[in-house]
Amino acid sequence: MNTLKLVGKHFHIEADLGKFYGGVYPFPLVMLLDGHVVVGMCWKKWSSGKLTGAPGDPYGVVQDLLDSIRFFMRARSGELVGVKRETVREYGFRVKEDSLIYSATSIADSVYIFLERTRDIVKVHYYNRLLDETDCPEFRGKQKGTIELSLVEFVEDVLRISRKYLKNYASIVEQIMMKQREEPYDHDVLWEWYREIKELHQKRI
Amino acid sequence: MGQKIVVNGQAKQLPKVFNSEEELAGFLREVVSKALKDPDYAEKFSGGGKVVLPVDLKKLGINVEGIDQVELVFLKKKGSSNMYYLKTAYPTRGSKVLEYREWSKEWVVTG
Repeated sequence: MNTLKLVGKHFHIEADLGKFYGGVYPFPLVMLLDGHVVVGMCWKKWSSGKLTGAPGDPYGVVQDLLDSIRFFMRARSGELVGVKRETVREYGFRVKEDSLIYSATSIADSVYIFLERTRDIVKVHYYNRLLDETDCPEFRGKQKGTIELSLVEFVEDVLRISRKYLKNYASIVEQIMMKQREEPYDHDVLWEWYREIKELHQKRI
Repeated sequence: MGQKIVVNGQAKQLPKVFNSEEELAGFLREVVSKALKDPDYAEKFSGGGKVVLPVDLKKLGINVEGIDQVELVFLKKKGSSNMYYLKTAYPTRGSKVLEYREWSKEWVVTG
């Protein structure tokens, strides 16, 4: 089976490694967070009315989630990564003036994901533009939302799914990229970040 | 540059924003150099394999009629810890930016 599955307490990620779109977001991917469809789409005809993967990148998921934690741990009040505070507000999200915001852009096409940390809380603001015009009734009006997790639970979930990805899927993804003659991904750096965060997290608890 | 392209057997006339390849290259150079000088955008280069950077042109003081946002994609050079090269760049939002939707077989204006 070519299905990649990363399940944590809050995150649920699936990707079809049997399909390869190429480009920046090479695989069809679904990402649910506490039941919200952060990545994925649905069309009556095209996907038979079922939730289906949108162009995404499992490497990008793990990279950006781990990287956001590294940022949250070292950043000073009000710092941003990859986005302007006004831009986040223009998309209709309420964000504090001095919070930390990380834009998780490597996860999927046509989805804006802004991770905001204030004290011990991580808010995941998402705008899934592919659900804007969905014709599946159950997903209508659900393209935007904010999910709140405690920082500890966020870190633990990211560690859980990252470990699963690195142990079970990184080498398969590497093989596919090689076969498709795409530039290989740097998985070593993700292992490094994973260990760094795990160590810090254990010290804090 | 106003090309006519064929998608799924149908010809489509794209809107014209740039008059020449030189003009387009100059525009991309300006976007990349201004984005990299902006700490909020530059922070994204933290050592990961892939950096995707959607850049709001107005926030960088660049005005091009019909394009509001450009996405820059960088990949890390093999064997280096923090050297990147620009892999691709494409517009993602604007009144002259069109997207083809595979599922509905429609062209949509994104601005």
